[in-house]
Amino acid sequence: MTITSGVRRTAPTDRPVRRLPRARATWVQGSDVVAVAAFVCVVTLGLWWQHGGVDVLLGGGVSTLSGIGQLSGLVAALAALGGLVLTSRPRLIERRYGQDQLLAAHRWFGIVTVLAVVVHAITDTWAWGAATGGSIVTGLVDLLANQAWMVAATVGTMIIVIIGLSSWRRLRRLMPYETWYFVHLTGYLAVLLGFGHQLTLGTDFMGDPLAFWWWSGLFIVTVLVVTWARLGDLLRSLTRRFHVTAVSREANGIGSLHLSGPGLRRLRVSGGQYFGVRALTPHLWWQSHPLSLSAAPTTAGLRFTIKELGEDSTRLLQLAPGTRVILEGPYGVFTADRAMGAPVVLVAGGVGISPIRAVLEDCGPHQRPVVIVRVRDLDDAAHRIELERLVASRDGSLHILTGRRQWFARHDPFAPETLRAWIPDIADRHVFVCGPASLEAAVAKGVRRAGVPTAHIHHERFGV
Amino acid sequence: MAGLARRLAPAAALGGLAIVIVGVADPAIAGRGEATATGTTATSSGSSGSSGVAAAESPAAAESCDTADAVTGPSVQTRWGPVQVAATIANGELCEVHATVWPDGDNRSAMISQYAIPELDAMASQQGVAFDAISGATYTSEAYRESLQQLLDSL
Repeated sequence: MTITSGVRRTAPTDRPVRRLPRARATWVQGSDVVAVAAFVCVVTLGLWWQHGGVDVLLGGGVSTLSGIGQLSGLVAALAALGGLVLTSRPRLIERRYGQDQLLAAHRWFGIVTVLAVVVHAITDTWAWGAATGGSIVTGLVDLLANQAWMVAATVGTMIIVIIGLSSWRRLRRLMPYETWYFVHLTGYLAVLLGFGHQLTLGTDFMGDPLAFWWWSGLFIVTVLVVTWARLGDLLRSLTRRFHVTAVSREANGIGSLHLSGPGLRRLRVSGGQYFGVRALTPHLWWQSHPLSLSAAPTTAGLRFTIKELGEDSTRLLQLAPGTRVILEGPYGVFTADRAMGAPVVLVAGGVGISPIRAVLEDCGPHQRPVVIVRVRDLDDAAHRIELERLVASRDGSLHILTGRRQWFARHDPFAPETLRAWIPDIADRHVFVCGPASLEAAVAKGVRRAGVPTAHIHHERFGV
Repeated sequence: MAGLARRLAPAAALGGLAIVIVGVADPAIAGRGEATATGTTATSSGSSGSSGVAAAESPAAAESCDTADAVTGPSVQTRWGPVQVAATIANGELCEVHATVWPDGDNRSAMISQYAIPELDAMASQQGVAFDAISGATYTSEAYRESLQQLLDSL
């Protein structure tokens, strides 16, 4: 590693460099989350059933239409609230699932919300029109002109559809991340706009005070959870002070950002976790970059390794020492403690080398880590010397696979026979994979067939 | 900063437009809240939460059962509001039945009553209490039958 700018500052010399404490485990189990979700769904559907929802649904004609509208409305609202809770990533839940899984689930909740809202809007407007002897158009006109909160609900529906379209991968690729992100934030507004008509027109909540409070309670709890989680993260990131200490070059188009500051004192973080990194310069302050630690965090500072993919990541590697940086997080559950002390295989591809290196540093000698790095050529392998040193001190081994993708297509290094010959005890190991989706898929398939249980395969996916 | 403004613009336009449209056009905010309580779809003029009361009698019924007076049944409570029927009876024969009160306190009830009540009136006038409950309006149908049954019993 060569220092290209600045001086790497270390902690005051009279204090030894210590590793920062690791991220705390959460008491929340997967079964807790499923139980809460099931409780909410069962109570809501129970109220619907008790209010004669089944009769309405099976009534035929306009009644069935209105029943579909009623049910899809409930589904849309529950999915929207669930999606908000997921994306607010409360720490108790995030420490169990990791931000990437929460956001992946958020995506599915979002898809359900969009589809259910569209079905709800069409069927209920149609039923409303038909019940008053008109069409879907006269129904819509009457709802908009005369019913409280129906303009709000209609506008909310449009926002949700726009958010859904903008998140469709083909369209999303066409716009900068932040454009998509800011549009996505209007989803909060959409959910609030939809709330009014649920109470003024929702049969389930009109005649029954218990149902009314249950429904309002769901919204209130969601608002509290989202506010608590987001505000907590914001306050934490604003009160922890960090600054750039140095920028260094690692390999072809790959550099590292070194941070330090008083904020380190209150940080708990494990190798393999990542932060939303925001550099406070006039051009960059509004962008948050998800960056993984590439070394164990110590009292001397944090290190992030970045591949120069675009203008923004290049700018991060041009930051002057002393620049203030805001860190949000840490996030992620791609940490060595997931292996529970068992031996490990660590597989990295491309920029995935950084988190893998940080996880490796958290592994003990009894875990005899086998590290496999997949890069186009040797010059792309960041941290190679560090990896060799870390592996040697842990009774493990390092394998660097270089070559073109076409070659690997014919000679799969992750075929079960190859893996077993290479790592005889692979079935007893936990496998950590970080890299492009194609690599993750190939590794997961290979090691599973080589006898590694799915629960012992851990991966981290970058990008929201 | 120009980069930020460019990326913020679509979301700001969307959010701003949404708030303006709702503020200007939504009956709940734009001062037309009164319209929401009665609802143009319901035939009643009752204020929020009360049940509609039909005013006029059918002239067709008066013709065929000229001399008969309308008798009103008791009000029967459902979870969505009371149901009450009135009937004209001549020589012990049922001439015509129509509901005078039905659930319309909330808009979905009003919507259901809108199609269920005329159908119930027609069926009850033809068949007395021996009509089938209307799907999707089970509570209203049962209460309708109950009110008519008690009316007939009281004669």
